[in-house]
Amino acid sequence: MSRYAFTFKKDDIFVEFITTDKEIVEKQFQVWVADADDYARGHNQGKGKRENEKEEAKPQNLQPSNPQEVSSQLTTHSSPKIEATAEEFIPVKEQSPPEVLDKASTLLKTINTIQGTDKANSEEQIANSNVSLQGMSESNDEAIQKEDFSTQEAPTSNFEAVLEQSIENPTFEPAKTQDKVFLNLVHSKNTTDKFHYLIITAYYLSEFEKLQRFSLKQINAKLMQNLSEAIDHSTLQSAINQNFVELVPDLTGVSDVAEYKLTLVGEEFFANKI
Amino acid sequence: MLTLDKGRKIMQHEYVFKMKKGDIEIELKSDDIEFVEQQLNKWREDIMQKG
Repeated sequence: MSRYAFTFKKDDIFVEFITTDKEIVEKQFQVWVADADDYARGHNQGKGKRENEKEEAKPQNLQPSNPQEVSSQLTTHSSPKIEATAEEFIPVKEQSPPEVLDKASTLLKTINTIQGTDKANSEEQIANSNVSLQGMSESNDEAIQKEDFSTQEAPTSNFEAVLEQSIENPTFEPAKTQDKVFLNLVHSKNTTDKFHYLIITAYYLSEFEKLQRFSLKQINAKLMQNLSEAIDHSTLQSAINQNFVELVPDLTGVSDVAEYKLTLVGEEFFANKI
Repeated sequence: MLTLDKGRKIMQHEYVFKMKKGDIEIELKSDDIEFVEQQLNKWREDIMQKG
């Protein structure tokens, strides 16, 4: 049984449809080509550039039963990066890649001839496809190419150029959103003491963010993001010594990060002493 | 592929729909032509609308 493959490429999107159903591939091929034509017309208004057509044919190596190998290409002069191919795979014998310049109507005729079918509808389909093809305008287009099934082509050079440009001119900036609730809490205590910052942040993480335990890293992340401040281990140790903060034991034995929690004494200190 | 339906051999076609965008690749295999056509139509509209 013959297999048919229809491939479509637009920018970095590649669509491939493989089937043994000739009728459906004919139908889809026409629909996609017509849509591509419409897209090209709308997309290329005002551009007025032309490119040379490139048309190539590549042999396909598959395993079907028919000895003949038929391939053809569809050349569109639509948008620069839309390519569509429809081909019948017949297989095994390797032939030197012929350079066939053909249109969809010829492909349909060839398929019908090989299959020995004699459909009146195919003539109408061919006429319709001819009309749509003749109306296509020339602009920044790439030719339709047959692609070897065993290899997938890498993205176009446009992608590489954009990637290179973005590397040279990075535009990413980390988010600098501040926590207003946290800031209000800190400002309400009217203090700039780092020890107080530790207790306030520990309270905030426990009560507002509902963390049962927190690490020094989390404390500093909150402080740095909002106040550009950081707490060192000596300050944390002082809080532990005064029983405001306690170390939560790692029962799993696999944690690499020490975690702490605010004690009741610490909460009282936050409420009354800051 | 050939299948039997009430003792008669009928031709059942296979349909494979593949789409690749960047690193993402999806593949759909089915013998349900209606479903595959729906997907083809949907993705065609989607692709063509992206300018």
